[in-house]
Amino acid sequence: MAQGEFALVRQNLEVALGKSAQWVGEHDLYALLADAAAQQRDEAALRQYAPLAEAAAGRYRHLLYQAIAHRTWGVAKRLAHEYTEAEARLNQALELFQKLDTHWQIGRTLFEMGELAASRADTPAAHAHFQHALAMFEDMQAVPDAARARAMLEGLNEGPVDD
Amino acid sequence: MAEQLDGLAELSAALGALSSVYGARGLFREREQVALRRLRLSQDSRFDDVRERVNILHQAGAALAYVGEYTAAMPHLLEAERLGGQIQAVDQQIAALRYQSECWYFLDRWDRVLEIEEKWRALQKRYPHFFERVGAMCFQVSLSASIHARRGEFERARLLREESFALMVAAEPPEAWGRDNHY
Repeated sequence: MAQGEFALVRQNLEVALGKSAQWVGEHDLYALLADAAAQQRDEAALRQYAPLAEAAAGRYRHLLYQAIAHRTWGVAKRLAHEYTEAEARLNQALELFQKLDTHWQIGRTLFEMGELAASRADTPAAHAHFQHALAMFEDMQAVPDAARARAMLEGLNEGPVDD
Repeated sequence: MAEQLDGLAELSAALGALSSVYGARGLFREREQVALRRLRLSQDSRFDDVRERVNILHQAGAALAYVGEYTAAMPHLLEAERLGGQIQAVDQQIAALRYQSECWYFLDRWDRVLEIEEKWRALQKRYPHFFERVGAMCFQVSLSASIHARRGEFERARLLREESFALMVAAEPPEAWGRDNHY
């Protein structure tokens, strides 16, 4: 998702927040906003939406959105160089996604684990996570995500990865 | 108040109204419990309104789906689709298919979502004035668009996105859009 597209997603979802709820709740909107912020590595949006997404998902005991909130926090903590907290959050996310058997989400979480390992300069772990993510994406025929995972693997082979 | 009503149909209708109120207030877990209670009521042998039974089944599935209980929702939605087909109620078949596709989408079962698209497009060919009977299918088209985008099939995704938007605008002018439209 390009920056302009994220702005459009955010604009639409923030308008939706002001409308009455029947079949789309705040938990739906906050999960999407937080997830989009994580994909964009937008620290300000992460600070704004990760707590709201987590609170709403918890209120409804919505496992998928709880997992997305954990992953969002994992990205936020990695960007803040709080790697231990990031790892704990990503592990929690992965555990929930595995329970739900949501393969694309598992792949995306493994990709974030690869990013975290690369930030810690743990190349073998990063390689293993990206490789595992790539297998999940290929299985899903998620071509753009598979290309991202391949690019990260090639980057690892060439040298250190920047944030 | 609903519990003081004797007739199953009246009690079911009262629970349906309560479910709507919970939905409007964003009380989705409470709505789930009411929907499941209504479902149990509809399983009583004296409950003989099949059309209403299908409606209750799909509402139970939808209520479960909205709190993320996608796998639990699916048997009710499949049964709603089957019964809807049996009584040739295309609107109810489609209502069940809508929520099935949403559940499969959130469970990352993209092939299943696209299979459901094939099903409803086949029904569209069979029934004249399809959208007038079943309502706009913009959300389902947008789910398919999203899947094609995730697969890197961007031209197909673009066409579906435009179809979805056109359906939504045709159904309601943008100034009247609610949360669902922006979502």
